[in-house]
Amino acid sequence: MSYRLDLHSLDDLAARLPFHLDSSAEVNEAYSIYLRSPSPEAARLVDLWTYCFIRRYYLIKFLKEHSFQAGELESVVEQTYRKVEKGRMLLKQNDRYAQWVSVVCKNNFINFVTRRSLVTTVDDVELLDDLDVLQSEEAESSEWSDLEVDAGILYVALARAIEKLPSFLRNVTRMRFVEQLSYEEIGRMTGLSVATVRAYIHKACTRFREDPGLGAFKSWYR
Amino acid sequence: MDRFPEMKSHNTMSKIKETLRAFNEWLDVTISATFLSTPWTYLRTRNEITLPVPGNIRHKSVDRGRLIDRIARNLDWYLDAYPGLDREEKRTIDALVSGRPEYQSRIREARRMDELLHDAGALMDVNRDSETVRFAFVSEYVSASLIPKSLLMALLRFRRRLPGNAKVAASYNDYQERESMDELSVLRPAIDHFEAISGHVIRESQTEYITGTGYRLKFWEKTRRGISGVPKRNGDREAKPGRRERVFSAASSLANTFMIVAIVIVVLYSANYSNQSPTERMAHIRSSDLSWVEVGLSDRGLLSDWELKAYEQYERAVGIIARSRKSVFGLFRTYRSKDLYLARRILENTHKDRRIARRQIPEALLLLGKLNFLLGDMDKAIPALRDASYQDGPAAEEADKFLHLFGPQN
Repeated sequence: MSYRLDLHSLDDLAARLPFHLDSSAEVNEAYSIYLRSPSPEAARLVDLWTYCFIRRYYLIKFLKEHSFQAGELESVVEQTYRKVEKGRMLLKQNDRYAQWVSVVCKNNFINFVTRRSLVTTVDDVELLDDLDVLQSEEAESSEWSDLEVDAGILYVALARAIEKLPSFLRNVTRMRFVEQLSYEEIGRMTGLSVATVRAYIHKACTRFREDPGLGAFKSWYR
Repeated sequence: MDRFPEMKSHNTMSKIKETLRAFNEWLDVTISATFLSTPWTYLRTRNEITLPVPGNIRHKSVDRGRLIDRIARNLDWYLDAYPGLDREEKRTIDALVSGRPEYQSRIREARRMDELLHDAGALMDVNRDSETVRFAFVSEYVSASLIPKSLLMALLRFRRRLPGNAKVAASYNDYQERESMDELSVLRPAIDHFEAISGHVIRESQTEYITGTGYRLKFWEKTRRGISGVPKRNGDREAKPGRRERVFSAASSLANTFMIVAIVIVVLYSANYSNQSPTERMAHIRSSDLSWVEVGLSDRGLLSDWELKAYEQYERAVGIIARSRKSVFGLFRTYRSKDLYLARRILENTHKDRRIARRQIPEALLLLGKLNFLLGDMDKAIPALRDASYQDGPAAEEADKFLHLFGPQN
């Protein structure tokens, strides 16, 4: 099976979701519903998104790296899936499930890469296990964004945050944070003075600080 | 050179321009030197604030000095707007708060938000295409039909930018070409793997397909019923039905609609019928009760004044009754009582004329009887109906039937 076929095979599965893989707000809502009333349907939905997200994560990573083996993809996906399954009940913030799964993927990927590079030189299983535990602990404590896989989830969160703004702020904010235009350019395009544009951006920034969708990603930035 | 005087003047202009540029540079250096020597004195005299002298701030122009002044005066406001500021403004804020512990938590928070928003807009950033290219590539295949509108727009613009960035375009094409690679050939399809590790069963039937390379793939019939409770999406890729099936489907849905409408009508009629007594049903004013006006007035060809006046009064009463009726598809009839009272008074006044009263027009008497019944005045209803029943014609027969419903003594 080629990469493209595997992408199609993943799409077959992801097509059963009622929302996009990067719609973190819907994912977190589905997880909250599952926690409130853990029905088989709710569990299946959460598990399905989790699996699809993890598999997509590793497909992107494997796409970049030529030397990874196909069998490794399946095992690392399974390993990460098990880790999420085991760890999610201990998750303190239920409204950040999507962000947390992404972090688990990143940390597990580091472990996978480190372990893999050592396998080629060291043949000591005990040493590897110790190292794995150590690195897992270190990795758990660190969060960061990786645009190779996070570009979509972050973009959707930003788009949602802009949609929630009052209509008079939306356009100017989109121009500044999405189109990345200067104050002067925005002023020219909207007919507003630069001072007004600045005032609008100030208001938007204040609201962004309070936005729960964006706030769920803050822990990625330290 | 004389042959080219314009060239000579050009040379003169260049010399003037050079002189001016040199003067400007001198002026700039002089002003900068003034500020460099006393950078915070300037701020102190203007704002009476005490700031530590930051080593990394170097004022190169008057504008820079103004910028520092502006930000220093409104530092709180600028800290709030930090993620939306220009690079120069951010640098100035960083320098201004560098030695001030009271601003450290706020600047940390502002920088976090700044980084977050910077990354969030990466898909639209031309300079970060190399970071987002893999995501963009995979998004084309996975979950593409569910993609939110905003993300779709960003990805479309990414693709449009591709030809302008040879390096990114090359890596994008490289992923496309990896189609032929068999690195992942031993992998199970995602659905199989998911079912195996999660224990969930999400499909009903399976079909086997043989690929061109001879590899046996198992694809499963795409059915949304696999995940119960999950709503259907617009992007479902199901096989389109044939024309015959579509016609049959349309006909059957039309028949179903008719059947539902028929059932609703039957139910409403039944409810209406069973909700009323036979007397009430008989009392309802029908169209025939209102279309008699000219009947029995005169057959002489010419109407006398009193006949004409009676005719007008009957017509007026009938018009009022017609307007007072309300119903839903002829069911659940009601009347505005105010109009009924008015119509009764008109009819009674008309019948006060002995010449009209002598005529004993059965239709007018039946209508008066019905009006009185509907208004609950049985003492007036029964005599009117009885007078009508003594006459000839369909109205008299109807009045007779009506009377019998009140009891054999009537």
